[in-house]
Amino acid sequence: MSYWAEKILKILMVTALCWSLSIAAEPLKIEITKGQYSRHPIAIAPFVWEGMGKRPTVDVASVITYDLKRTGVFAPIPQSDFLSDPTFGGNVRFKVWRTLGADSLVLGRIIPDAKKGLVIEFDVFDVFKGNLLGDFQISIPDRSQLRNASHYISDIVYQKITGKRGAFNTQMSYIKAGYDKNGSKKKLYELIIADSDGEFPQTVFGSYEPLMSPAWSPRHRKIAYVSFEGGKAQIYIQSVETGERKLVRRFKGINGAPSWSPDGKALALVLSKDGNPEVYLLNIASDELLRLTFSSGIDTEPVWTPDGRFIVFTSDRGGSPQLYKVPVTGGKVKRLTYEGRYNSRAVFSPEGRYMAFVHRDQSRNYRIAIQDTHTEEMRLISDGPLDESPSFSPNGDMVLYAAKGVKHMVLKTVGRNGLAETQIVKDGDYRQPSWAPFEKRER
Amino acid sequence: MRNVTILILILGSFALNGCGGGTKPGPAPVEEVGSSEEENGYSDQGGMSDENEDSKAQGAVGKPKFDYESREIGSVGYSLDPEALDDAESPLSQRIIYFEFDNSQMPEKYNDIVLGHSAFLLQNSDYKITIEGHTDEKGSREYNIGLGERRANSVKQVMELSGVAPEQLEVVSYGEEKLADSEPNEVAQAQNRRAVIVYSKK
Repeated sequence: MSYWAEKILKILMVTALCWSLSIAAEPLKIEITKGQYSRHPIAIAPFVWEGMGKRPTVDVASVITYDLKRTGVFAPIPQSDFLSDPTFGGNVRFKVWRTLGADSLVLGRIIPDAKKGLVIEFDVFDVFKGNLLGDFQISIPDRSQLRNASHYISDIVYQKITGKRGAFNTQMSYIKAGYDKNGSKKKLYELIIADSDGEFPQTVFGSYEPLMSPAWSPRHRKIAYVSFEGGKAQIYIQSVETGERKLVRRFKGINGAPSWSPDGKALALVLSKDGNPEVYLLNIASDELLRLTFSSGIDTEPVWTPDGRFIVFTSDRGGSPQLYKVPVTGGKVKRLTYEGRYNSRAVFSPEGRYMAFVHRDQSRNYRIAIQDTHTEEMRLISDGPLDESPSFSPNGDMVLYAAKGVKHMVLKTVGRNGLAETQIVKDGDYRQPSWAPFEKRER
Repeated sequence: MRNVTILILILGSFALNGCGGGTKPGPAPVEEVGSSEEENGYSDQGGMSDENEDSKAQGAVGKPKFDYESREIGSVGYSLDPEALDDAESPLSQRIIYFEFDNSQMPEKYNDIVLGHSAFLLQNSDYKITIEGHTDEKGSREYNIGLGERRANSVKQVMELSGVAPEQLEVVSYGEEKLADSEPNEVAQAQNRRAVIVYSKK
């Protein structure tokens, strides 16, 4: 069984097993004060191990704490601040947790079960009101699934408290450059899929020529990317499950920057076959091509608005790279960015409200910016100096991007509010991360 | 050895390119759209100095204009036999053209080198070259693919104008995907802004 089939089966097992949902309680409101977001203080107690043998190596509470902290929405209280060892079940001393400043509390335990493998029970409390928001039980076949289960618990806690779907039990893709294990001096480029926290990386394609710009299809089953194999740029679509690769109709010059339409039937891409880079739409089934841009400058990095009606792209037709939009049927081009002399590589939050992109600030640092499409207000959410390739989490609450580390590029996440910047991979040369959409499997 | 007659092209002097004397007054510098006051005033701030201009490439407002001054020369003065490609002493061994931070136009100082390669291709029609375009690490990757292509094309244009057959010239842009140096300083970044000539047999 392939890694993916195995993984999917395990996820299904986790989700299929029972937990009691009680979504009666209202989601808490996150306070916004003075234009700054205040983080929601939460206490996540160590999950009590009720087995006879050795404790599992994966610390469930630590994984949940790390997950929630990275969102910029939560401020987990360090376990070292806890006043007593919390126990599972029995009366919760809300007053003690209030003294600590916690607004919410998660208590849990892990019980080995001869039939079910491991059973994890956990409760989510509203400390402020002093009541139970929900009690849950999930089972997993064995310890190897504890990390996945922890992300799954994070998702439930996130949903219970914010009212929004959590995006912890998700995946991402990225390109990693490095040298292969044979010790050769040739650079190896790998297309990798990993969990959203960077764990469990799996190479899905490797090449000694550059790979670029991986883009998930909306149904999370295929990745389009650019490959320079043979010394020429070409776009491939690769199935994640079978590994099967299909070459997209290729043209002379640049074949780059693929972006899926929301219905998965078309790709926006960049071709320079007519002399300079222009944005085209390609119908995947019919191979029909529609040219969308007409300028002597560079037109590139197309992305669909989530409603499928427009393409937003980077163009230096005005003298410096800025973002523009054009209807997918072609027509009048409208400029979207005016602040600064460098705004490029847009991406939209899944519900379409926010646009993230690369912005060069006045000190010439390249930083991730977010523009609210309602108010047109722009905010910088990363520090630079060489940040690039923003990608929203499928719930739109976080942004994944690449940043310059000590020498090479690393991957980071930050809350959409600009809080909790976190590096999620160790040293290496990581490029163009792309957060996978929620699983939407067709039957 | 057959003498090769080629046209020398003098690139138009662009204001930002800082071309020296010797050429006739060039066409009006390509207008930069947008204000320039932002570019001044911040260049002294630490870290990323004012070298940080890879994006503001020439040609965004139209095809670069050339100022032609043609003069005939005889041979380039060195061997154009295929063996010369393997001769480390030959000017043909110079195959990297570095670009200014503010510019996708081939700097004038590379005219002789590039015209030497043109002469070689004119004499050896069974050879062809790929011109690789590269950029530094600043900004977004696919935009840099566009910039790299623009650089490679400016070299290609010079060679085409000197009569090299289009079938002998290919362009591929790697943008910032194949850095020459990834150290986070300006010396390294300048090494990355380049076009590289790669020979192969047709």
